[in-house]
Amino acid sequence: MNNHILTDAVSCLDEELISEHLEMKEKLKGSTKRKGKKNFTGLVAAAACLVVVLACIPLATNILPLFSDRTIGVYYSADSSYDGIMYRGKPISKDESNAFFAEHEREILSLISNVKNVALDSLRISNNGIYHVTVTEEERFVNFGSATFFVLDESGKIVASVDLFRANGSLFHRITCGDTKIDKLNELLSQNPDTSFVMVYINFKEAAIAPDNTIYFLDEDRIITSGASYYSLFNIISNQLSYELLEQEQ
Amino acid sequence: MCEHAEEQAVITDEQIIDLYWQRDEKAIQKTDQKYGKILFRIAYNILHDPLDCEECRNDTYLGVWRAIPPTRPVAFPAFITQIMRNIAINRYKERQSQKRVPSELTISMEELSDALHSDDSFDAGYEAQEVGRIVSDYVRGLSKRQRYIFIDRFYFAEPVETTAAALSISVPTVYRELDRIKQGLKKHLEKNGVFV
Repeated sequence: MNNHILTDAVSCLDEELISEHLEMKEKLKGSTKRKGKKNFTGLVAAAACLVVVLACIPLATNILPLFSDRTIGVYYSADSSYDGIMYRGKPISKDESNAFFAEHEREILSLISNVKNVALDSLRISNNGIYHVTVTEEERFVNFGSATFFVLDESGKIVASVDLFRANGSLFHRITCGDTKIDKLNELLSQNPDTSFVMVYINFKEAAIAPDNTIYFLDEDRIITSGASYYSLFNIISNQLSYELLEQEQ
Repeated sequence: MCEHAEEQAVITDEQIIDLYWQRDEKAIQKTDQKYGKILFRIAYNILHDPLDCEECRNDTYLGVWRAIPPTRPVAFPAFITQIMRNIAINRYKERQSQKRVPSELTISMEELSDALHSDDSFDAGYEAQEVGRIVSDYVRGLSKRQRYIFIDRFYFAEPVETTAAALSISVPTVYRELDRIKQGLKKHLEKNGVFV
């Protein structure tokens, strides 16, 4: 008998069955405690909240390109020579991101090359990271805590973005290509050469702020020219943006 | 920079999913706070190696981060459980190809496999999902107690002692139930033409 087939088949057990099992586990846990009996192991309690099996979800252990419009964001560094990016007090240093790309660059670029059908050797990763900042109604300011690097073609046009973010002490990455916001950003950059933008989310809409404080929304053809000095309010080191921007938006 | 002082508040699964949709890194933190131990337990039952389990857990968080959005799981714990289980089983298979790995999963699946008659082999036309559906039908027809034993033993790979303690029955009783379950499953699979 093929153990692997059996193991995989059991993995595909109906979601409802597993849900019911977990509920029963919870009840039994409570019932056992009331009887004063020792639960055999604390790990049973830890497993008590487990839930259902869905239809087998194909897992990607390699990088996946994302074609959704709902990306983390595309940002452009306001300082082309960064030494590190701080978020929530924990940095992704230039050394760390360099080490990451030394290990993963070929893999990342190969994938993008296949997706975009461009020559692998024509692609390169930008040498500066970008940080994500969000301004929302609820929080005024939220830092996504990830750094974005661009993948550029020979002409310097952005073809994809790679987000690095930290979770549980490890560095993860995510690629986005074929996104309309990248197209919009390319258009913006081509119209404003040699310009460094600050990139933000305002109420979950992506926008770029130019040094003259004009705000360009990447999701729509909307521009705000307020006269306020938003650009200078952006603190590159701590990834902060004043909530004055939000008040202006409202 | 604004921070939320909500570490002590109980967060719902819907709220966690919203965080993923908002691409808020707190989503992973909250997932870990709420389900980290459970996920570790699932992996440990399969791999019995804390370092491997830790890696699998991190891989799970990445898998969830990538999947949401566009996915919006109806049952979030089930969603992440399955991701973790699949990752752990893949790791387990890799290690098995190199050497025999002592694992509760190995023991439980060998028990099941042996009971389903070694002379038979699966019809190659059946995929795991289809067999899974057939097994699900069978499990649904079991008594509550037998259903619990089956899933605890073969899905979560819990030691028999753990299952016995949870049900407040003896270990030999669990083994007897497992024998009945396995014989019944064999007949059910034969009836559905899963064997050739």
